[in-house]
Amino acid sequence: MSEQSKGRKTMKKVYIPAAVMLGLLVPMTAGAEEAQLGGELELTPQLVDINGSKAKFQEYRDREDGIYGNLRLWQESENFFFRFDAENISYDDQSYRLKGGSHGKYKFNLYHDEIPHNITFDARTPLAGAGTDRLVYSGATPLNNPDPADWNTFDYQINREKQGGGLRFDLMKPFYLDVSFNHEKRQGIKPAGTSWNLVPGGGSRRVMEMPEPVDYVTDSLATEIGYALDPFYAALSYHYSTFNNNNEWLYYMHPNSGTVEGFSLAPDNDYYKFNFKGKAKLPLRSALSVGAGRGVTEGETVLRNQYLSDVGAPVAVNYSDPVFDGKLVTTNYDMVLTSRPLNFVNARLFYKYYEKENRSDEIIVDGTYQNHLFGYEKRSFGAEVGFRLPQRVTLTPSYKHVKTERDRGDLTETKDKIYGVKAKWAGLDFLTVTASYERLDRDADWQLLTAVIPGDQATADGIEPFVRRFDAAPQDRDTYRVTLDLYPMDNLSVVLGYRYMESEYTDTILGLRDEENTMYDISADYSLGRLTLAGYFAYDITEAYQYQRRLLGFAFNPDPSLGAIAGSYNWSVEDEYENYDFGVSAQVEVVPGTLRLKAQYDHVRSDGTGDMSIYDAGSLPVGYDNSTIDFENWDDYKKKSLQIKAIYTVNPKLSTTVGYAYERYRYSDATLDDYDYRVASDDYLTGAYADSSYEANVVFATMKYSF
Amino acid sequence: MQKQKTLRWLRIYAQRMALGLGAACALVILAGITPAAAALSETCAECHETAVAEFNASFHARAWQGANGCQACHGNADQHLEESSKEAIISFARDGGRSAEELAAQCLNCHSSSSQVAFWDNSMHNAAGLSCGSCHSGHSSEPMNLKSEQTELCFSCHRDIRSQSNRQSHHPIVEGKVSCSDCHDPHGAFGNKMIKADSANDLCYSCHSDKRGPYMWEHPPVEENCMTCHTAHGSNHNKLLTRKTPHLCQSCHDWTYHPSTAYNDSDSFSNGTPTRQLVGRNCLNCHNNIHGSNGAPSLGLRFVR
Repeated sequence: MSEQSKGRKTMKKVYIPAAVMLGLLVPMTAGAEEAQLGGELELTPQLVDINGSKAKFQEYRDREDGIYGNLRLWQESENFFFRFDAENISYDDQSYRLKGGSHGKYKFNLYHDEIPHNITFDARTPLAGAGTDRLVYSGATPLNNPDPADWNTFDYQINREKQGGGLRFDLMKPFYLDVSFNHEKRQGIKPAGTSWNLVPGGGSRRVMEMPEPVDYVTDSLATEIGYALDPFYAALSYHYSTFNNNNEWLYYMHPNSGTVEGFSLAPDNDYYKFNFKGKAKLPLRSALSVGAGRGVTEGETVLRNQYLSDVGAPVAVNYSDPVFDGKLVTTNYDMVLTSRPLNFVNARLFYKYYEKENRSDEIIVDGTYQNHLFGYEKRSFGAEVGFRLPQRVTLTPSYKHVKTERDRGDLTETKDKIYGVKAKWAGLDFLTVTASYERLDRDADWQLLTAVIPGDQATADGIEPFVRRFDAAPQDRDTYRVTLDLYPMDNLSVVLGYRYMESEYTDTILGLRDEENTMYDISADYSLGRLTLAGYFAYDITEAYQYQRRLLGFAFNPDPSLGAIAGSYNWSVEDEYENYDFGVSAQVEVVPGTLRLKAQYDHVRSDGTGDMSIYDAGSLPVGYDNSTIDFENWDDYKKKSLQIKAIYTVNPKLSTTVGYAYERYRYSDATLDDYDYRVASDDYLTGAYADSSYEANVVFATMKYSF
Repeated sequence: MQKQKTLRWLRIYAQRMALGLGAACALVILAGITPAAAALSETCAECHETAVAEFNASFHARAWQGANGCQACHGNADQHLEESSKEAIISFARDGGRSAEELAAQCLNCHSSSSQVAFWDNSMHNAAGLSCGSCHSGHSSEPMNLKSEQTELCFSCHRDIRSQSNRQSHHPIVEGKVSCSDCHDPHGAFGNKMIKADSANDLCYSCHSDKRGPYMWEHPPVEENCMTCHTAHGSNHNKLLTRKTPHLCQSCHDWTYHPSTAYNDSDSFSNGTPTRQLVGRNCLNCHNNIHGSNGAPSLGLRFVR
């Protein structure tokens, strides 16, 4: 971890909201004298030893040598209740929650929650100013700082702090009012990157990976007013959220020219939405639910009237409008009709409409081309009817139709027909079997893509007829699922599951053609006297096959049926991931009510491969053939976690726990193994996601005092 | 005239009878049932000591302050006291012999007017034959009266999601910083997968507001559905990607030069001739602004600035 962060990681002050929350309780509880205040205080001194990546070990938590404290307070009385939870007080993952109110009259909550996201510590850059919106270097141009040991270090980490609360009034039942607010701050650094060059006119562009400052504030307010009295329900809500990025651009010195360039960061935006939802119960044990909503997202960006070319030379740009006004409008309507007209029938009919309309500015650049605005419209309807049959069999056939229209160049419309059937048999008290099948038939309308930049159209004309992008490509998908719930004894439950899914992209010549996933799992719980055992195991194998064509530049030969010709050739890859995870836990009451032992072991593993085939012997890298170009380490990892602890109850008010935890994570991947900050002599990487393996030992002791 | 008088008298009489019966019921409830309920709880405890003790520590018990006994949920116990069979009472046990609908009806006696369960009829959980008691226990002292801690409870049926949440790139679900109900409404919602929004993107933007744009240069699949490239619970690949880059990107961007190049193991750091389009964050090394850009024209368009 960098020196800068070490300073930040010193013990934080107990956060002010905690004091505010506790302060609020004093007057509130004054009126609830008849109820006893209950609570628990936990103090956990712990010693942590980490070898390897502290960032990955601490990815979403803050575990280090120190004393961890948790506090819980509660009170229940006829007129008032509250519960206060404070966890990991003063650490980077601390949280405070206060809930209270009077049953049936009002409720309130306040919270302060921190979530760290540590990515990589001790990342490196030849630029100065990590964490700010200005990255600079000193000395002559082009940037030439070949030794990463001389570079500046920083941590890729983002800390998220949320504060908020809500009030719900039920005093005028059946009417209610719900108001909540949230203030969220995210601060830190995440990886960014761009390309640059030493020579004009293309060729091999270089990489400049950079620390991007994250300094976001999002404020949200939500209100809902409603009426809830069986058989009717209606609610009207309004949600407002405003996002502010304190850095709209990241300014960095171009590695070749030293001139300052602006890199676009997340723009400020305002979002609001009105929503209505309602339900009415109807005769024949039916109910009609409806919903409607309209949301608007707006933002404004002053465009830069100059940018730097690959080599860092200023290029003036002429926009038809120098300010981009973005506006996205979403509209949705929903309707669900459910009915149980007969004891053995349970039917559900639904219709859903969702539209994202893009009303942003269309801006013409240098009088030659313009941005394309994307929007889409999706309509879906369907039915699901469950029949309760003799022998405790339930059969549920279903159908869903989804039509999506897009303002997009290639696949403008898709129509999905989804057929399904689910059967459940609960004929034996100790066994329930559930099996289901689902079939997706997706058709798509394709048209030739119009390239944004006119000069790219020839390439589009050549290659696009063979490409079908998987997100909207015609597809046949079959999914099978079987689950067995077994209860052979009162103290034993076992669940067995199987799932198989295959997607075939029927019209795709170039792109993702086939995906397959198979999963087996089992979980079990068993208790015998003082012993409780639980375990789970899941095995999952995923395969994806894609076929591509490497195109040399003009004059190229895009048709895959031409095979290898003039530097163009076909290739394919089958990515396969074999995953399994299992866990076992045991708990034994050594001395009932006094001494308890607990142990838990979890194991997660993934073994990935990328089976490459290049269908042109002349294009294989020198010294390699199709059996040696495969990716053998393709997001491979193993994680083992063990925790054992002994809990000794001294008396009803005091208990102690001593424990030990061990965690080992090993990660290996062809894109990150043997990481080098310099890919070639003029590339600058920072180490993002590199070297994430670790091994950690934690010894802890907890003292819990209840009152 | 006489007929009208008789009808009027009958109407008034009926109203008074109804009022009287109502008042009598209220008196019985206030004066009779409550103490009887408390007394019955003691009787129940003779056989169901643990269950009654759990209930007495539960939210329900604390909220009611002992005003409702076991029979508030389990129904009249007279027959059960004679037969001591589960069928003779409303039992929420797996082998209690009651349908999901019957059990849900017990809970809805009090909770039917709650806004939280307004759309239970629409819910996939309802369609799957679950009832309130599948997840909640009237005896629970866990938050929301859940039978166990929320994540573990959901994982007990959604075992594939547990497996995904254990993967190396994941939302902080197992760390307890994100819970299932942050995104899903188990009681039913209009969104697919019972998400608490009208589209996947609307849901994701509620935390990732920096991804809302609006952008001048958009990436259409991103704007349509975050789930095209990301998975919600966990993945083997960084950033919860559905597939590994560069293959994920290449499956759509077959074009001249580097997007269509067959990068392979010879291009890795380990093999001595690393290629910048494969190593590190590969495509994202340069095309960083993949969610959209307001940057310089030809470079923003390609998400490089």
